[in-house]
Amino acid sequence: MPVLEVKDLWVSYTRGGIRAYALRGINMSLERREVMGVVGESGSGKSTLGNAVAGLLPPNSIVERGSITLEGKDLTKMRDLFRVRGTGVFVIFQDPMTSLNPIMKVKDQLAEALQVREERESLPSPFIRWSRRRSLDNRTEREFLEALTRVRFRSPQEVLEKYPHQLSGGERQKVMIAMAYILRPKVLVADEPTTSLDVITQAQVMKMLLSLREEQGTAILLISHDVMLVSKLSDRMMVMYGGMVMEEGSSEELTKSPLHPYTKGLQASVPTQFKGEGRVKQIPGYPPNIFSMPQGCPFHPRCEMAMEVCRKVTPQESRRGEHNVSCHLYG
Amino acid sequence: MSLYRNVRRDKTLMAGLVILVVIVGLTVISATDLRLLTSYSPYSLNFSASNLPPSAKHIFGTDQEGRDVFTRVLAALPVDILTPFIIVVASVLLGGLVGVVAGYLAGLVDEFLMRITDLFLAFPGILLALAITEILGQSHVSLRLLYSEVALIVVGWPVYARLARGQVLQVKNMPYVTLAKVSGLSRTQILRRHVLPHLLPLLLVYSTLDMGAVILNYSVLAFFGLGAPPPTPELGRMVYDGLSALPQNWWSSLFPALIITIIAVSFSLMGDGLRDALDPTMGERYARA
Amino acid sequence: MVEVRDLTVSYKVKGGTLNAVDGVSLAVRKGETVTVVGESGSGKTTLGMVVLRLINPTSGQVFFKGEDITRLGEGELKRFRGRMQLIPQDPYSSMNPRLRVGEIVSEPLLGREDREKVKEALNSVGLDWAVMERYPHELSGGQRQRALIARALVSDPEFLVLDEPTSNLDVSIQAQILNLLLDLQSSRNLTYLFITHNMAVAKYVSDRVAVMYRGRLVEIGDAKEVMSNPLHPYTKALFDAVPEGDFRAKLRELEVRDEGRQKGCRYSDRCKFVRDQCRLREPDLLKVKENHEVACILY
Repeated sequence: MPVLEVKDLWVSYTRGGIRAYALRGINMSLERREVMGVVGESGSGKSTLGNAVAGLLPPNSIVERGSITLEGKDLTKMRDLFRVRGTGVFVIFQDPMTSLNPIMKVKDQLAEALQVREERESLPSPFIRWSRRRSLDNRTEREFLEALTRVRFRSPQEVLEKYPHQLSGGERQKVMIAMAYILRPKVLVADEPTTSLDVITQAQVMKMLLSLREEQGTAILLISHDVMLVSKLSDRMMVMYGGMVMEEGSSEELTKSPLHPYTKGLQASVPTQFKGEGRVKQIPGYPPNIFSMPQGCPFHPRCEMAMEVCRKVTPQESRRGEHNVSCHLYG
Repeated sequence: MSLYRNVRRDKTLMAGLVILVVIVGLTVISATDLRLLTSYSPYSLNFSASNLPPSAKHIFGTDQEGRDVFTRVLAALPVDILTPFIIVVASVLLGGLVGVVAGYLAGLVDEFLMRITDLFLAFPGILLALAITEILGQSHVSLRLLYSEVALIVVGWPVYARLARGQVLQVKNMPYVTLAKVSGLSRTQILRRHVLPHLLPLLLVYSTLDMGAVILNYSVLAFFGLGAPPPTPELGRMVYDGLSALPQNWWSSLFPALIITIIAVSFSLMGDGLRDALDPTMGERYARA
Repeated sequence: MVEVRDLTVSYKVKGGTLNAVDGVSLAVRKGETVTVVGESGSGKTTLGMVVLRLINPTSGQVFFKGEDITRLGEGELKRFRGRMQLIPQDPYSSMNPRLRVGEIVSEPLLGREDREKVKEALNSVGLDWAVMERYPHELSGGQRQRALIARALVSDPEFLVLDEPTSNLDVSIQAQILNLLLDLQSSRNLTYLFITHNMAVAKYVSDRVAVMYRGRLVEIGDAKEVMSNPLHPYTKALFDAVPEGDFRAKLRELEVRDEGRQKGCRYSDRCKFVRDQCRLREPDLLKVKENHEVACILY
């Protein structure tokens, strides 16, 4: 059974009295130990999907239809969503500066995480919980050091005492991953975790994420606009545009033989040639704003293969070999 | 949700604006020719008509000396509006200047100016104003008004210095200022074009809100006799004068106090509304997906 | 066109001084694109800022078309300002939200308002001149970046510093902007100093590539040469880290080493090929081939 399943999810945002759909009928399933990549640009809805799974949708959004099931439990119907957060679904954001409390030392942040996990694993009496909170005993400290070592901090002891602003961006992300080691979530949503980091640090962070998957069987939802990164790191990937899934399948398949014009366009947009050796093929136009989404297929204004039907009818998902594609060329 | 804000903003701004227009109108007329508004004199004593309760003839009643309270209120308006106005304008100019200089020049200048600002900020406003005016005002009763103005300015400017400096610092570090430097704009040009426009709306909003507070503060000073010398009527002083007549004659203290409150509140409402109205990105702000 | 010699920019920090740029010498010839690559903290942005004299160098010299502009005051620099412009990284915070686009684009004209020039600049970046009346928040990221490019062009510059101009943009927009920049370079004979940490972008736009690490220039040369044949261990690590080929295998082999304080070569702490000699002194740039220089003891 997949650890996470999203069925026909529709999420809307309301702004200034106007309602627009950020997600339009998303279907997705994630197995244990699997890395699923979600690729998209602005307005694609990829971050909304991540937030929805984590239960972090802002107050002006509604889940209009569909379900998000974590190990059988429908998250959209739950009242106390906080119980799921941390040990069920954990999130790593682009800028950890906002997810790490700037006035708490690293060890206090980790302690908080540990506390959450222990409370969920067993329900000790309030007294035990309270006394645990008070003491940072040997056993706990050892666990922190271990987690920090797993993310390859050279001197974990020092790091424990540091504040977030004393760490670099990459180091903060590593602290977040250390938290994931402690929390042992079933699903980890990584929303643009390395976008603001340089290449080498990015590689390091990605290595940690894969280790997390190896060692704890965590399922990872990797959200990014970096097509290359996602295609190389994930087992399966889905390409989103205008709130819909355009194409979905194994990463290898999608990279070798993409079907959807948008997927092809995205891949072509990344330069692989040297200066003077030909131009990068660009997709014309701009990504859509969800408040002014075109009729029919959201991509048709920018698609060079657009047909009459694309302007009017929203394409349905159809299966081609190992892929799922939503395009009138194929269905 | 945005719809709710629009309505609220409108009502707030409108309410405050309407009340203020009425008051300012009355003030202007009163300052030019009081007789246009009332047949009574704010000065002449008429003991036969003293302590009369509010009626059709005397809307706010009369005080202990037989003077029509409503007339006195109208006569007091010019002083009670103009004085706080002068105080706020002076505070803004002084504080704004200090803040901009400190923020823009930074370094030692900044440190120096800010320490001075902190010094003044540390004093409890009203008490300081009272103290200054008392000490200075002992000698020259007629100059008391001037001294109380000065005292309130002394107490009022530091806030604007902080405000201005904060804004300047914020804008100074923005990429578009760096870009302006690259394009060759001089310091003054950058100040005029980028810094000041960001600053002025904020100062406007804050000073409008401040007017309310200054009016109250000034009324307190007037209450203690540290405002305009008699026989010029003053709302704060009127409250004081009316105290000895309580509890039978409640109107000669209450109405002046009520008017003070209404004026102060209307300034606050307008300040609130101004703040919302002046932001060009209102309602359009969105985060990147 | 632009040259820096032995440039150093020092900052005082807790525990001593930090050289954001440390003894860098670099020349950019007319019409070419030199791309400076490196991680955050490498000093590449600082270098760009110094070249434009937005930051003052602690030591060394900056030349513009042969003239020494290192010590010139703001007044004297004015005549250079029109000729060298900046295209910034963040199109969102680089525009004053209270000004209209037209005013922003015409700013470099310093009051000599010229609607025609603004229109022409907007056209050349593919924007409808009606955009002049809009406010920044009404434009998308891609449109804003185009407007910023138009702004840089309006004073007819010869030299542009481009500080990560596409890092905050969507991939499809990035492609558009890069193509636009290349077109503009050839049609207006512009010289670019391009700063980026994205290797694919660097590959696409550069004639020459300069690699910086913690303030120092560690490798420089012809783009094709350096990128197909990297010599410095850091350069190799950079290119290895790009998600290409069998990335998962590369990751498995990746060793993670933190930085520390060290003597001698500043990369020695993280270097795979480190030797004892490396800790003795900092290596200088050595010409290994006609168009390829490296600062490493291995050569």
